[in-house]
Amino acid sequence: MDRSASFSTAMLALAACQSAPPAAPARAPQMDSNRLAIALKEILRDDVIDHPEDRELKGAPPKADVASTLTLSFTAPPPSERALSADPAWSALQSAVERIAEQARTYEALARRAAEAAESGGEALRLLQDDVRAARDEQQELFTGLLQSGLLSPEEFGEAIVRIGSEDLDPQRVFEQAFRAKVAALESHAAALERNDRIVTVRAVLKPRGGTPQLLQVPDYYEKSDDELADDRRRARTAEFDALALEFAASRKLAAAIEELRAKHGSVMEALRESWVRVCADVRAWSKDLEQRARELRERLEGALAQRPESARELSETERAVWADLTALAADFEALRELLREIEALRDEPSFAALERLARETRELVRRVCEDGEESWSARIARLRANVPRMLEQQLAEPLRASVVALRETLERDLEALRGELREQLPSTSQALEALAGLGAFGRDVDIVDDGVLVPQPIDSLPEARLDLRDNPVGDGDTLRLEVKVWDRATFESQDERRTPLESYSYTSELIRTGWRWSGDVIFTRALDGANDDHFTANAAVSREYHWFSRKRPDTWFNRLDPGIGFHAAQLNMDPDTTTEIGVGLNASLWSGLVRAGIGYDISIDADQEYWYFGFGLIGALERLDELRSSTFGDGD
Amino acid sequence: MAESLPPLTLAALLQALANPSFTAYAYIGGEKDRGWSIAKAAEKMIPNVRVYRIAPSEASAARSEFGASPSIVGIVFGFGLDVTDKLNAKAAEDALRVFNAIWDSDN
Repeated sequence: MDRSASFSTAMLALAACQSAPPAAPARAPQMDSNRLAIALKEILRDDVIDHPEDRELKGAPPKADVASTLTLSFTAPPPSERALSADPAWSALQSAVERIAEQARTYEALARRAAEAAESGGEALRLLQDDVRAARDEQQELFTGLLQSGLLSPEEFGEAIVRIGSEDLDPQRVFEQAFRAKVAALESHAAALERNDRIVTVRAVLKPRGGTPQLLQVPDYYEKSDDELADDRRRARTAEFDALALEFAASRKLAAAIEELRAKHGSVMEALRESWVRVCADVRAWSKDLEQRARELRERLEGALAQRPESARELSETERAVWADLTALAADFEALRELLREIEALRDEPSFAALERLARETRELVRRVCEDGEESWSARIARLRANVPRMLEQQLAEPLRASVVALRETLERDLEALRGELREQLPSTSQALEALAGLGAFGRDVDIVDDGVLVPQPIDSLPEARLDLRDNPVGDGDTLRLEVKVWDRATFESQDERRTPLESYSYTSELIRTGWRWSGDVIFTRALDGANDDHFTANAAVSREYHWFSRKRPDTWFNRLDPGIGFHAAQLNMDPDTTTEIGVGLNASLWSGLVRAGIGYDISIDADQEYWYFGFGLIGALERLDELRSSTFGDGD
Repeated sequence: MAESLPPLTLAALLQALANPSFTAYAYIGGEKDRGWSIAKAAEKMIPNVRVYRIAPSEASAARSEFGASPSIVGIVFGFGLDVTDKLNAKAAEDALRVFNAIWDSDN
C-alpha cells in the first residue's frame, strides 16, 4: 500500500469528490403495497401558510435548508399477502370471485350454443347437455362449498337471489360485491392483528461539521425528557461558533504541519510519519528501564497480593485499603507495560485508529500518575505509606509479613522513583500522541450521543414526524439523516443488540442555507511585495461568506458550484519580528468553500502589508481526506 | 328470458319445454311473489335453464298437464318434458332448495 501520496494528489482527489453528484439515499421508500408508505416534505419558514418553495420529495433532498421543517407522514401498509393467504376463508372468497366471473362467461357460451345444438340434434346436443351438466355441477359445488364452510349463510344466499330476481340485477356483480365485502372485512381484521404487532421508530441523526454526532428531538418519536425545545434553540445559537472554533483550531494545527512539510519538501503523510517515528524513538529511549521497573514492581505486588486472605471478612479496614491500592497499582503497571509494547509494535505500521486508542489510554494513565485525586498514584502511595506500617503492627503470618516488609521498602524507593520519571515523560508523549491522533479525528465514525428516549409508535396510528430545523443546533454543512424503522414489537422490546428491523428507510441530506456562513480555513498566503512575495506560507483563517442556493432548481450548475463572497481574518506570519499578525480582507469561494481565494491587508506590520491567498475550508476538505485515508496512512482495523 | 302464462299459452309452453338444449322451471304464482323472483334469478345464474310463470288463472290446467297437486307451485323439468322435481310453496320460496332442484334436473 502506498502510504506517501502527495498532498497535491490528495487535493486533486478532493476536487473530484466535490464535483461528484450527491449520493442517493441509502434506501429509498418503495411503492410496495405491503410496505410502509412514507411522504417526505420540506416546508419553508412557516408551517401554517404554504410557501411557494415548499416541496414534497420522492427521496431525501440532497440539500435541505436549515430554516425549514422536514415532515414525514405515513400510510400503514395493508396486511401482507402471506398473512392473508394463510387464512383459508380469504383464499376461498378470493377464489369464489374469480370462479363466479368464469362461470358467467361459461353461461353465455352455453346459451349461444343452445339454438344451434337444438337444430343439429344428435352429437352436438349430447355434448351441449354434457357441458351444461358439468357447468352446473361446478356452480353447485362452489355455492355448496361456500355454504358449508359458513362463508355464505343460506339467508345471505336467499337475499342475494331474491334481489337479483326482483331488481333485475347482474348476479355476477351481486355476488362479487358480497364476496369482496367479506374479503375486505377479513383483510381489515388481519391488518388490525398484524398492525398491533408492528411498531415504527424515527430518529434524526445530526452529524455536525465538527464535533460529535447527536440525536435531535423528534416530537412523538424521540424525546429528551428533561430537555425542552427551547434548550435546543439555545444550543443552536452556540453550536455554530463551537464548530467554528474547532475548525479554526484544527486549521492552525494543519497549517503548522504543512509549513513543516513545505520546509522539508515532503508530503503531509511523511511529516506525520516522521512525527510518529520521533515519538516512538523518545518512548523507546525511556521505556526500556521503566518497563523493567514496572514489571518488577508488578511481580512484587503480585507476590504480596498472592498472600492476601481469600475472605474479606477476615480483613481490617486498613488491610482492605492496602490490598485495594496494591491491586490498582498492579493494574496500572500492567497498563503502562501494555502501552509501551503497543507503541513498539505499531512503530512500523501506525494507523489513526491505533493512535486514537493510544492517545486515549495514555491520557488516562497520565491522569492517574500525574494528577491528584482518590485514584491517583500520589494518593495511593500516601495511603500505602500510612497503612503498611499499621498493617505490620498487626499479627501477620509468614510469609505474608515478609512480603509486606519488602513492600514497604519498595514503596520508599522504587515506586516513588518510577512515579517521578513517569511524571516527566508521560505528559509529553501523551501530547504528541494527541496531536498526531487529532489530525485524523475529523470525519470519523464515533458513537452517537444518545441522550433521549426512543418512542415506538404502533403502525396503524402513526403521527406525523416533524423536525423543525430552526429549533435545532444545526448549521451549514452539517449532515442530517432521518431514519425510519419498522419493527416487530417482540423483536424491538427484546433489547437484543443484534435485533434487526423488518423495514428500514434512511434519508440523508446536507444542510445548507442561502445566507452568511462561517468557515475555518487553511490558507496559503503570499505578499504582493517585499521579501515574502516569492513563496506561499500556510496559515489559518476564519472567513464569513454569503452563499446562494436555488431551491427551485436544486440541480443547476450554479448550486453545484455553490459560490460565496465575503471577508476574512487570518493569522499570518509575514514578518518574523512580529509575534502576532492579523490580516483582514475579502475573499470568494467555490464548491462550498472547498476552493477559496482572497486578498487582504496585514494590519500588524508596517510595510508590504498586502497579500493574496488561496486555500480551502478545513472540515469539508478533511471529510474528503478521510475517505482517502485508507490509501494513504491506513485506517487501523 | 322469463315468460309468463298468459300471454304464453299452455301449448306454447309445452313446445318450449320440449327444447332439448334447456331445462326449465315453471312457477305457479303472482308476478311479485318471492318464488318468482327466485326463479328469475335462477335463469340469470344457472346455465341453460328457462323459467316460466304460470298465473293463478292458468294454474289448474297446468297442474293437470304436469300431474301436480294443488300444493305444488314449482315444477322442475329436465332436458325435454320430463318433470324431475315438484316444489311446494315453502320450498319454492327457499332459494337454495330451488337452485338445488334445478342444478339436479339435468340428470
